[in-house]
Amino acid sequence: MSVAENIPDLDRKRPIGAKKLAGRIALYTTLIILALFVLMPLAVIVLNSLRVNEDILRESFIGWPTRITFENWGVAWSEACINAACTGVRPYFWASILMVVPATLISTAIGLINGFALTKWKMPFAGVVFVCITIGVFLPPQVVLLPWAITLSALGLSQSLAGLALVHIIQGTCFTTLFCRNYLINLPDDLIKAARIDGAGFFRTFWKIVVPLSPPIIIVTIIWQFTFIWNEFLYAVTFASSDFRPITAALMSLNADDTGVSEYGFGSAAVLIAAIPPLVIYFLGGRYFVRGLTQGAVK
Amino acid sequence: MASLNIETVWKKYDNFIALRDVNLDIKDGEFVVLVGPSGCGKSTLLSIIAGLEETSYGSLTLGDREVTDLSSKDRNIAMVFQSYALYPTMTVRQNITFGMENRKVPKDEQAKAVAEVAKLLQIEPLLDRKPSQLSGGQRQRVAMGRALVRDPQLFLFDEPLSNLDAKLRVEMRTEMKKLHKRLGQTIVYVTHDQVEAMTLSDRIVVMNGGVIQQFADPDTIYQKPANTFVAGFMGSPSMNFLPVTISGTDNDVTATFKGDGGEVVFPLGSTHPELAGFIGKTVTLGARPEHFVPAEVSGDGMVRVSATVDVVEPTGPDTMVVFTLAGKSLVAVLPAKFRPDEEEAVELALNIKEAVFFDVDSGDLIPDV
Repeated sequence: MSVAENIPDLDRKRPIGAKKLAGRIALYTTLIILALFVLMPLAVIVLNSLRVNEDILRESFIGWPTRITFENWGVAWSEACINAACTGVRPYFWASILMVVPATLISTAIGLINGFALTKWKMPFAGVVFVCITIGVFLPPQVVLLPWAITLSALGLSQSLAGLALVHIIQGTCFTTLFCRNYLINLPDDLIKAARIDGAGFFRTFWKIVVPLSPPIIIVTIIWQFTFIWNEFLYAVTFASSDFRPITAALMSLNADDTGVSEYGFGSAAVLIAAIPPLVIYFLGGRYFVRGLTQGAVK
Repeated sequence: MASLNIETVWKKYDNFIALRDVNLDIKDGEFVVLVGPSGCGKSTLLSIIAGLEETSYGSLTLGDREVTDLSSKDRNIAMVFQSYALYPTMTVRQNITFGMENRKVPKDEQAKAVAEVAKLLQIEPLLDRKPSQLSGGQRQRVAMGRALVRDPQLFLFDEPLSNLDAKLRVEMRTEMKKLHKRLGQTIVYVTHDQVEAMTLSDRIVVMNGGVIQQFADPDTIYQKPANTFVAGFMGSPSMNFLPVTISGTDNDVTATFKGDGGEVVFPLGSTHPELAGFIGKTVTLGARPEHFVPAEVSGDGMVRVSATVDVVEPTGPDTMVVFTLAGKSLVAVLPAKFRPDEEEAVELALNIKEAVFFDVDSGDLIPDV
């Protein structure tokens, strides 16, 4: 067989007709407008965090900074007053971290173990148990607020970091179990059988076979749980106290001093500080997030 | 190595009975193949032998131990899966040693065992690779290595060759047979490929509907199938079946087929004494496609028939001919050079001595007397 000597133009594109071009323009215009609409509030907050408060009060909430200042960020972080304690959002930020990180990791771990037991280990009544767990996903938080308050006080954990973490671990387990079960159900059964014949028990199979195959869903679950627990407001406000207050609850009472003047500048900065951790988590694992959520959708 | 005794094993799932009264006596060092159509219970039986499924009734004995209620890991068996089931995140070496680590075998013994198996299967250069970096044939070898390293009493194979391409499958088949000759292990092997079953096994178990149809050596299965199911399942193309009426005397029997397109008479003489008790009755005549020959090469014990050719399918070494005999469609495998035209009337001859007869009601083979 002879090979063709001259390579023809292989980058040929199908010509676009006028009608199709008009369609494209309309499509992209719409998309750009919608994108701007979504990004506008973020832009306003970012700009305000860089403006002097007098500028905001004198001109308007929406406007360009006359001079750029980073002072707001410093004030928001360590000087602004919250419920008469002028510490900035710093202590609340760390309180949130201390509560969210263990709650995220523990609920993810439980979800993964549950998912494994429900799909790959012949657990009796696995179907019924799974349905019961997923009901938690659809339960509005207002419904369980009072039961939780009673439970936490009975456990001596009311208005504490551990108490709120416990609430999020248990509530979150419903979501993490759902995610992990749907991921692990696609794991080949033969692998688990092979491990059984190789003499591995439940936890050894879990550690050696299941966990190494689960990074995509672990990352998805961590992003989901971290973002949800970090941003959660209802439980945070309800179970907060002077000893322990997550950042979402603290933002509500943010003031510069007791004069009652609205401080949009460092208010904006504080909000942005509060938004940083989920963003960081998302940027680190976002690639996996999309991949994990669509897992199993296409074979 | 050990013998395996399966006694009156039943398996029920909810409302479905997957296995009915399975009895097998597998000898030490024997290569037994379980074969049957999908859903026949062969994989269920293998899972029960492996301890991955429990029996609903009955018992299993491996060597001199009853293993019915032992878990997989305590049975001293090894299994090769159709999907190979290699642990994707482990290297080949880790895949092979995983079982030994679970059993807490000392490291130096593990290393020795891996080296031996790797040498035997020629996978030494692959030991530090991940399964995803291996070809199908290499994965197959690693899966075998993982089983061999255990030196178990019993090997179980679940369609291990069906994911390989045709050429590799034939190679691995030969290799597996060699390996069995060399190591002499007791093997239970599940397949739906009857060629694998015929070529590999010492004995074949043909299953259908959760029931063992026949347990015998390949030649017996092929030449004296226990019933019409076994006869039709084993062999490709399938055996031809014709309902015939038996007439004549004990020493001079005639079988007559009455079809839509006329009557075909098969003078059997005294070649089939087992039909003596069936004079005046209808039985099923079974004739393998290769028992037909072109009429001009026919000799003793051949019965000439006139047929009309429907389809001619040359396979290379042979010519497969679908033809009509008195209104009934049959298949013959004839020499490659025999190439009739479609619609052509041809003269064929049937080697009647090789034909088998089945009870028309039960489908069971009418046994030799």
